[in-house]
Formats: sequence, C-alpha cells, structure tokens
Amino acid sequence: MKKFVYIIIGIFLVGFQQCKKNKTVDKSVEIANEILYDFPSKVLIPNLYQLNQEAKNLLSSVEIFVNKSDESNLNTAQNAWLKTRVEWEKSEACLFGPVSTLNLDPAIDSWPVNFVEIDSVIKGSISFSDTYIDNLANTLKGFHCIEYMLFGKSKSRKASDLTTKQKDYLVAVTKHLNRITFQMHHEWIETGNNFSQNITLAGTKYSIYKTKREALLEITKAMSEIIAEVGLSKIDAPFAAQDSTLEESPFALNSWQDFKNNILGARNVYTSSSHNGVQKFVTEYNKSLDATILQNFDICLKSIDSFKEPFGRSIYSQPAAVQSLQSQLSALRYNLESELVRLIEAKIIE
Amino acid sequence: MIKNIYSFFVVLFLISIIYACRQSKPFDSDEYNEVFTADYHTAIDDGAGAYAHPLIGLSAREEAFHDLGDGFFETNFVPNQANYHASGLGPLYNNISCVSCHPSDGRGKAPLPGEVINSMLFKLALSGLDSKGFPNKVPGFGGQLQDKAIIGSAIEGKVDVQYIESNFQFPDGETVKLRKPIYTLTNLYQPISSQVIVSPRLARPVYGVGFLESISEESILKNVDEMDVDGDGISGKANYVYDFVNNKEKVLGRIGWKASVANIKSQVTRALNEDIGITSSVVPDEQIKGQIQEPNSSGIELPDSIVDALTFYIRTLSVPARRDVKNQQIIQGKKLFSIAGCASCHTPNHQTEINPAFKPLSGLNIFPYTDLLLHDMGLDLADGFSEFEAKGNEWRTPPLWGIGLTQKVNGHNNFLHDGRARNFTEAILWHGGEAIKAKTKFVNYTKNERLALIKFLESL
Repeated sequence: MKKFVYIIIGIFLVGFQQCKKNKTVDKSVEIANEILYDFPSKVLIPNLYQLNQEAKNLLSSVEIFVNKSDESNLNTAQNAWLKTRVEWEKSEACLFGPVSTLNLDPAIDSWPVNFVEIDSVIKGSISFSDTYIDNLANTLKGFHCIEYMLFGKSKSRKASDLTTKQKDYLVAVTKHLNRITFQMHHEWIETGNNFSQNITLAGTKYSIYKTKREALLEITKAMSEIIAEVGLSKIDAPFAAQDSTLEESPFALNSWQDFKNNILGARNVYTSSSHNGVQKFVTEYNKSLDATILQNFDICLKSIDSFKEPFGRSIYSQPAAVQSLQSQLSALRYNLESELVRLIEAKIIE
Repeated sequence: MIKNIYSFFVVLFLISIIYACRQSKPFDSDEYNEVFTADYHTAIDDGAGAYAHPLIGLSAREEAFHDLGDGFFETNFVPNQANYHASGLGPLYNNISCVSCHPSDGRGKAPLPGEVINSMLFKLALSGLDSKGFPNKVPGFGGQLQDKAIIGSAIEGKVDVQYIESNFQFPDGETVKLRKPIYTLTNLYQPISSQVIVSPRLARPVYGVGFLESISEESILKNVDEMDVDGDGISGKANYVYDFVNNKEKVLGRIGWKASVANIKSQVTRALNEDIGITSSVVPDEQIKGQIQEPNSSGIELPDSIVDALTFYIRTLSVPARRDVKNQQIIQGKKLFSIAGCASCHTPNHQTEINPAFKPLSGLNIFPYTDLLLHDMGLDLADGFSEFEAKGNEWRTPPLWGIGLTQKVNGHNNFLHDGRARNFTEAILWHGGEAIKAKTKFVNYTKNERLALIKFLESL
C-alpha cells in the first residue's frame, strides 16, 4: 500500500511540474516586454533619426557642391550620400509598419534609375517644385537617382559634368529624400504618429499586435526577411543572370557595403550589447542557437569583407565565393526564420 | 483510514490531471479545420508578411520559378531602355510595377481628397457591350483612364476625389460616419463623351487566387440561383467572360470585382497591358491603340517566360491562418454572421478540383468565404458599369480570408470596390440589394453582438 501512496505522490509532483510551466510563460513574457520596450527607443528610432540627420548633411553638401562645383565638394557630397546610405540599409532590417504601409521604401529606394525620363524631365521647362517631384514616378528620384547624378556611371562623375539644370534637379530630389526620411522618423516617435506604441504596448488595445508574441515575431521576421532579400534577391538577381546591370548600387560601386549594412542592421536588432535585443530571449532558452546565430552573422560579414572587387565585377570574377556567401546567408536565414521563430512560438503563449 | 487516504489522493490526482490537461484541449473539429484556411498550405503568420507566403511542398524548381515571379512582381518598369529586362513602360500607365498597386501582395488604399492615386484605377465605358461582352470603349480613352504617362506623352486625365459624409444611427443610439465618394474627371487631354460611365476599382489582394482558380465549376455553379427559386432573397449569378489566354468566349469568370476575368494569366496580362502599358503575346496591342499617344511600334515587350513566372507566383501564393478561433466572442460572432445570412454569399468552405497536373492545388479543403458569384448589392454601391453578364449593380462576393490582417499588412481597413469603407462596420452598412436582409439583421443586433461579429471578421 505504501508503494501505491509513493506512486500517487510521484504523480502529484509531475502535476506540480505542470504548474511551473506558467512561471516559464511569465519569464518569457517578461523578456519579450524588455525587448519590445527597447526596440523602438534604442534600435529603430535612433537609426531613423541618424538617417534623417545624414540626409540633411547630404542636402547641405549637395547645395555647397551646386554653388561651387569643384572636385572637393563633389567628393564631400559623394561621401555624404554613402553615409546616408549606411543608415538606410541598416533600417532595412525593420521594414514593417509605416515604411511599408505608407510606401516610403519604394519612394526613396526604387530601382532601376529611369535615365530616359530623368533626361526628359531635366530638359523640360517645368520647375522642380516639391509637389512636382513628389508626383514623379519612384524611378525618377530617391537614393539611386541621386547616386547616378553624384557618381555617374561606374563612379566616373567629374564635378564639371553636370549642367545647371541637372544640378537643380539634384537639389530637388535630395530635398525629397529629406522629406521622406523626416517622415520615417516622425511616424515612429511619440511626438509624431507614435507607431512605437504598437510595439511597446503590444497585447493591449493600444496596439495592432494583439499579443507580445505577435510583435516579437514581427521584429524577428523582419530580420530574417532582409537576410533573405540580400541572398535571394539583391545578390541572386544579378548573379544568376550574370548581368551586372541588375545590381542595385552600381554607380557608387557600393553594393557590398549595402549588403553589409543590411546584415549589420539585422545584427543590431538581434544583439543585446547596448539594449535588450532579441538575443536576450534566445540566450535564456537556447544558448546553442544564440552561438550559431552570432557565428553565422560573423561568417556572412567576413565573407563580404573578403571580396576585393566591387559586387558587379565579383559576380563574374569570383562566382564560387558569391555562391558560398549565398549559402551562408541561407543558413543564417534558416536560423532566424525557422529556428528562432519556432523558439518564440514555443515559449511565449500570449 | 488507508482507504480514506487512498480516496483522497485519487480525487486530488484526478483534479490535478484535469487542471494540467486543460490547456491542451483539442479544437472542435470544425474550428480546427478553419484555422487552416488554405488546407496544409496555410501560412502560420499574422505579421506584415502574412500574405506573401508560397504554397508548401513546391519542388525546388517550382520554388525557383515562384521566386522569379516574385522578383518581377516587384520590378519597376521603365520606358524603352537599352539592356534592361523590364522595359516598355507606357507610354500611358497607372503604375510602374505590380507591387505598387498590391503592396505586400495585399490591398490598395483609397485616396483621400488631393492625394495622388496610387492603388486604385478607373474603368471607363459607354453603355452597352461589344460582341464579345466587353464594355463599349470610350473613343480617345479606351476602357480605362491612364492618369500617368512617360515624359513627352499626354496623360488621358486625372480624377478628383471628394467624399460626402453622412451619419448612420443604430437603434441603440450608436452612430457611425459613412463616406460616399464623388469622382470628377479633370485634366482630360481631349473632351470625353458626356455619356461616359466611370467605375473605380481598388487593387485587390493577390494572395489565395490560385485556390479560387482551382475550385471546380460544378462547385461554384451549384450555388447559382439567378431567379431566386429557393426564395431566400439571394440569387447568385455566374459571369461568363472572354478568356484571353485561350481565345474563348463564355468561360466562367472568377477573378476581379465583377468576376470579369477567367484565370490568373488573363488577369496578369491584362493588368500588365492596361495598368503598366506592357504588351505580351496574350495582349499584343497597346491599350491606347488608335489614340494619338500610341507609339509607332511596341512589339511584344514582355516574353512569355516572364508572364508565366508572374502567373505562377500569384497562383502559388498561400493564405494566412485564422486566429483566435476558440475565443468565445469570436465563436459567437461566427454564429451571428451565419444567422444574419452573410454566409449565404460569403460561402465559407470549398474544395479545389482534383488536378493531377499540379498536385499542390489539387483536392484541398479551403475557407475563402466567397461563392465567386455576382449579386445585386443595391443602388448605393452600383457603378452602372456592365461587364459580360455583370450588370451595373452587381458585384462578385469578395473572398474574406485573410481580411482581418489588412490593417497590419497594409496599414488601413479600406474595403469595397472603391475603398469607401474605413472599417468592417462601414463595409457592412453599405451592403444593399440582396444583402439588405443581412445588413438589417446586423443593424438590429445589440452592440455586443455587432462587436462579436466584427471580431469574427478580424479573425479571418
């Protein structure tokens, strides 16, 4: 009989173990809360603020170049474009919310540049008002249009190349870039349209995310999507077709840097060095996955650094290395899109 | 004593087991199925990318083809530009890429007064139909207003959008503001017939269309009741249209606001042609044929391989899963949806046809919430625009699957063909014609009942 009582007590212990599950749920939600609280204020908003600051610097540099068109001022404007591009590519690791629903991404980062029509617009007699530029097709403005005007084809631009009318157009499209980057920041900040609230108050009636899990998954999937886009689209399209005209930033020969900053943007969302990143959740429940993710981020970044030629030439000269990078990105994507998403889905019930 | 202890532990044990197991209670079978909106292909994603998932189980080759189509869906077309694969934009157009109108594979947004119109277009017609059933074209404008043009070509015109607001009051006193759009053609490059009929069309989501294309004709036609023989006030009429791909007349229409398109490839090639100005082997002439803006020679601007990739991409987009199906309020909402008669047209469940040629879409149990038939929706929604069998007051029942994620994916809840509704309640209140009974029931529900029904729609 005693034996039977022990068995019953044993079963009870198992029952109590079940109850402990709720504590695990609380802990996971607590970590999710910390990550969601930090994401807007310590990751994305500073990124978007810096993006707008760099866009302002770019406009100042462009205006200085237009007033005094020498090589030094052109070089300064080119560097300002590159710095603005860094912040934009990092922010691409968070392409959800207003940047997506308000079509702000295509408004400044559309490809290809529509040379034929840009030439026609510049030759035309219409003045480049804000409204006029806002209403132009996306392929006539944005980063790559400015890139083309500042760098020329394959970085061949000379300060004396641009006509007065071309310079007027350059200023107008750079102002447009400023307006859009200002709006991106404004959409997220508390004193603006406060999209942040949807993240920080996820799971309440003040958010479009009914649960914290939904919001955390949104952030996680955005990370994996940019990694997928780099591997499957930005690299694959020109590489698979062996056609460098499909490269995204060919004028400044900046595509490798674009890809690298996309990955750095995702890594910044993930890591927890200066804020509570998604990593905090992973280290709590699966340290081995965390190590794999960090290692794969590093492998991809180092691979990009190892290319000696611009991307548009590497697709012809180092096809095996490009393919290897694609496999590495694919592994990282699997870590984020499958393993990490599954971990979040398993650990956060609400 | 031992017996008492034994009984005590047994009772406690049973209680603890019941407690421990309560979270893992399985779904009721019907609700369980409904989570999986698109059978085993259902995308378990309720985020911003929910509409963009491919079918499950595609072969490596099919996945690559899907990805290729995805790339072209996002590609911006430019005017004839040497050495570029997506060339031939315009000369007149409404947008420069597919994704510009269908952001994140989702729904377009209705413009506010003064806004640039980005994801809505305007069909034009004179009264009557031509010999194949198409609306009669408007001389100098064709069948659609192109409000953009490459530099050097004249746009056909613009549309000024205004809204007239009115108040609607429920019997319990709650009020809702409704807005009715008023469209005025402006900046016309030449005078237009005063008899012109203008029909606004918001860009529809593109996910799940492959499933709708795969429902058997028999399954759709069994709900036809044109003469309302069963006397339930709901008729249901099939549209029979011209199939561009097979050059065939009187084919069952299933796609578009008036079910005026027979299959995805027809939709893709017509949209390329009419919205972007791209010719293909299926639609080889520029939409502006005969107009002064017509170029000397366009030729075929997009090869069949790319048209096929785009078609395959759309055919193989899945549908997101339903959420919160065990929530009591949502279960109640689903019942109220049915009691009101909404499910008479928004038919929840269909099976796709057995198709050995493409197994991923063969023999599936799906929950699109549409009968794909035309219904009289009343005067308020009527556009006076006929297409094949569809009259000016008739619209195809739009599928509701995935609709609850519109706000998250597309940042708005603009519904109906012109996007006038800004939320589910407004959309229901605009229902008329055959749907008047259902609307009246909704209006007479209590506030909590109405909320439950809306929550149900949000769960789709």
